[in-house]
Amino acid sequence: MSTAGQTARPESANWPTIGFVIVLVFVIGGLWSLDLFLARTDREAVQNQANNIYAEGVRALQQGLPREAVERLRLANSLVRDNRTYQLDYVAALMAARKFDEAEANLKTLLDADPNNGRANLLSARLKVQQGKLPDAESYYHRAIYGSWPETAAAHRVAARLELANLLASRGEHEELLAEVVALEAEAQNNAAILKQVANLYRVAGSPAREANIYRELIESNEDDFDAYVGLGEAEMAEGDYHDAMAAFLDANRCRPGDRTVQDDIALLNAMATIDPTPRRLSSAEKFARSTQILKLTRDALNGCAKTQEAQRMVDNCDKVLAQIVPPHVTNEMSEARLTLAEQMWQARIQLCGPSTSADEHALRLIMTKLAHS
Amino acid sequence: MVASSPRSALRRWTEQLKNREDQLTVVLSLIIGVLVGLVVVAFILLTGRLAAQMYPAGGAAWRRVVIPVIGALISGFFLFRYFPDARGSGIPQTKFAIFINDGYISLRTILGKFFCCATSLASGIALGREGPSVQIGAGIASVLGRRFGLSKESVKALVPVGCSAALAAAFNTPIAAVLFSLEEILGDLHAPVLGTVVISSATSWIVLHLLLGDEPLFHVPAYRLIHPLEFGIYAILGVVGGLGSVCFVKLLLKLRTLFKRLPKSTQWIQPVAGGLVVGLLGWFMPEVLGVGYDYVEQVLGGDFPLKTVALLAALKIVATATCYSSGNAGGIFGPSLFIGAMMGGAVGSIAHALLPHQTAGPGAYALIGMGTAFAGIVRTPLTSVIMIFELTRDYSIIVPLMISNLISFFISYRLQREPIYEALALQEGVYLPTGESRHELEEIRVGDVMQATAAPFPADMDVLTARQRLAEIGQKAWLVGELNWLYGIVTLAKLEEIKNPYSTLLNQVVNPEDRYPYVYPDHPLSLALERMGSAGTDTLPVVNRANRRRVQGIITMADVLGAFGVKQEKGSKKPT
Repeated sequence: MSTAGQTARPESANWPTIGFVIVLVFVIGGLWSLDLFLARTDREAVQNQANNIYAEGVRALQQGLPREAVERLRLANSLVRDNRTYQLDYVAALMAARKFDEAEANLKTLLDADPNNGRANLLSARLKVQQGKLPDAESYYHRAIYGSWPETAAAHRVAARLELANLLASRGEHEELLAEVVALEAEAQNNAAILKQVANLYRVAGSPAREANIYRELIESNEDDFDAYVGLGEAEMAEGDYHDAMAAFLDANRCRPGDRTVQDDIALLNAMATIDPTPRRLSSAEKFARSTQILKLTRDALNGCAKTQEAQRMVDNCDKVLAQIVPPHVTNEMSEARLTLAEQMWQARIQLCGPSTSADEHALRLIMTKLAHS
Repeated sequence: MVASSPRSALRRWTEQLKNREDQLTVVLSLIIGVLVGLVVVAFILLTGRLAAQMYPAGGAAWRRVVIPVIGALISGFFLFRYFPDARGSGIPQTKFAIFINDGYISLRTILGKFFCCATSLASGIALGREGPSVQIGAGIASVLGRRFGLSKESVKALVPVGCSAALAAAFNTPIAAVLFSLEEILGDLHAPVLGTVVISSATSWIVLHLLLGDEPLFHVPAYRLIHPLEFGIYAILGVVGGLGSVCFVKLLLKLRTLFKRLPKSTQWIQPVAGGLVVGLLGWFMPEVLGVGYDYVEQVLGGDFPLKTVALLAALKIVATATCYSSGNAGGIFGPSLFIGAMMGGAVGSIAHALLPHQTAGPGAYALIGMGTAFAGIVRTPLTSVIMIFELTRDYSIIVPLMISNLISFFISYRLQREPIYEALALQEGVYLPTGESRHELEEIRVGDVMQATAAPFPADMDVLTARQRLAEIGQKAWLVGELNWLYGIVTLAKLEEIKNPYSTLLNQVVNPEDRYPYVYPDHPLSLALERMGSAGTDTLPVVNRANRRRVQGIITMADVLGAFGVKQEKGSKKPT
């Protein structure tokens, strides 16, 4: 406290008049009003300036000019500091400009202040993906999915989960993917665009039956949905149900006559229909003929790409089998033997030359996949 | 018992206030806190709005040259013609007021400081608003103290109260404001005005928050230490900050000397030199203009090209030194933070480029750099640490900040002995006491000087003998009792009042229940002198801290004067 301690004031002390005290009170009141006015004017001016700069920054980001966006959004943030949207867009710009350290530091501040912020968690997830820290990324994706979003929360959550699902799909984590896609399907709420993506992810996750179901539901709600018919056709084809696949592609063709892709698919199915040895209605002779055809195709596939001794030995062996005289009455066992040999040669072809990508082998590829699963 | 009405209670309290300066000082501290807070907020907002008008977004480049020149011309003329005491930063002027003018700062100076600084800072002069705010705050405290009829001592004690209120509002740093008032303005962290300084700082801070909300001056991302290696880089930053600070201070003092050599009649136009330099620099790099806090925040937020931040540090040193030394009104707090942030950003950019995985982004180094420049230029290491902490509210920076600041402070101290404000005062022919000089004075302790072998008079000694012994040793007072049990102090004047000196014993004269002055061995010598003065004696017992009755030695006026190099002709003999 004062050095004076309990000092008594001098008698001659000049105590201010009541008038001075009143003036002092008025001065304080006047200053308070002036400050309030100045503060309000200042806030409005700064807010307007920040809004303009922010809009420039967002525009730059959308135009693919991340460095410029960073500069503008940084300035907007320094002018108005408590605007979460500015802060989040700034982080997004930093990430677009590949300034990951800065983005991380800013995200930490944001998440310290609001750990449940959905968009901040989503940006953190993307940052972790960029940094190759995938377990962390998954964790942040889940926080984003269950975090808070200021508006259209459901749509944001679905989008975040979809992003996570695509990440899992790209990494081939099928079990985790399936769990996310099942949740996505429940959250999609009849949104056709989302459901189509979900269906596609089901196929990646190895569940074409679920994929087909989604397309059937979509077709129920819109009988002219070309994409749904195509998707259903592809799903049925992946399941090996070429008959239903053909029906779906024909419906697609009805919706959009002359579509080249659909016509290619129909042609493919027609080709497969001539060599598919699995239908039960086939006679033994027909099945044998188709098995022989498949064996020839696999022999040609192996012979066309592999020049090793082992491949040559298998091709020679195949030729011997094919040269054998066929009895008048063939049996299913004979067909199965040829198909088994075809499968061995196909496996050898994959081992020696890698997975087949040739368009010419498309039908054979599908048939062999179906045989492997049957 | 009749309960008194609120009105009569208020009247009674007012009457009490009239007679008690300590209570009045406390009440005034609150009023000063409110008033200074309001004035400083108005000053900041007005300056900001004016600057926005001067430099609208997308304004032409020529404005950056012309406006600082016009601003410097206008404020220079008014400073020369009407407000000569409102020149410069305001910190040395406030110290002059405390140490030379009994705390006197005129209302005219306050008004001059407010309007001239608002004009020059809004025009882009590369100086800060905090130093002027401190002088405005100190001035308001001084005017109020005088108007309320306080003694000169109390008015003097109110000046740091106004300073802390001003700094708390200007920087939004209430703790640093208190520390700065004690560490820099008074040069004594244990000054007895601590309580009132805290009250005014807190009050002013509350006013600021009510008006502008709870926002630190700078928002920075949450930085963290990436690798222990960073401590080494922060130490290097301390070295760079220290050297940069010394460059700045030396350049400023040198330029000030040159300007002071010019004829006095040119004083009104001298600030134009500062305006012209900053204008020309601002033509190429607009960030040099004004205090530049917006740009500091951007640098704190992330990385910038190394060349840009390094160039800005150098240009700002030149711009601020020229603006200040040419006599513009404005402070060096803000510019020192700017310079530090740029130096830190430069060091951080290099470190991050060389060791990207072991170092944080350059923004973290810019943050610490602010503290190093402040510690090196203003030479208040404790204030600088707390200030940066309060400016950013980021606790994780404290340890690196302390390391860098201390190194910067040490380098600055070694290469530029005189702190900037004392050096500026010296150029004005004023010798201000520095914290260091006070410390040197206080380094002499009572224990170093006391007579450890001197013994008190025995309690059963008769008064006549005691008178004779006092005459022999040439003292006006001495201790009575034993080394392990001090009775008290007897004075020659009291002994001479005794009518039967033969038959009266000292234990009949000295009452052990009476209070007596004393010192401890670790007390500074200045305190012994002060206590001798207030007790009206030339002898004090030096007692044990655990037992005030136990005598460890005796200290006399002759001992104190001897320690300060003043020899007395009649040396006192020690009674044994």
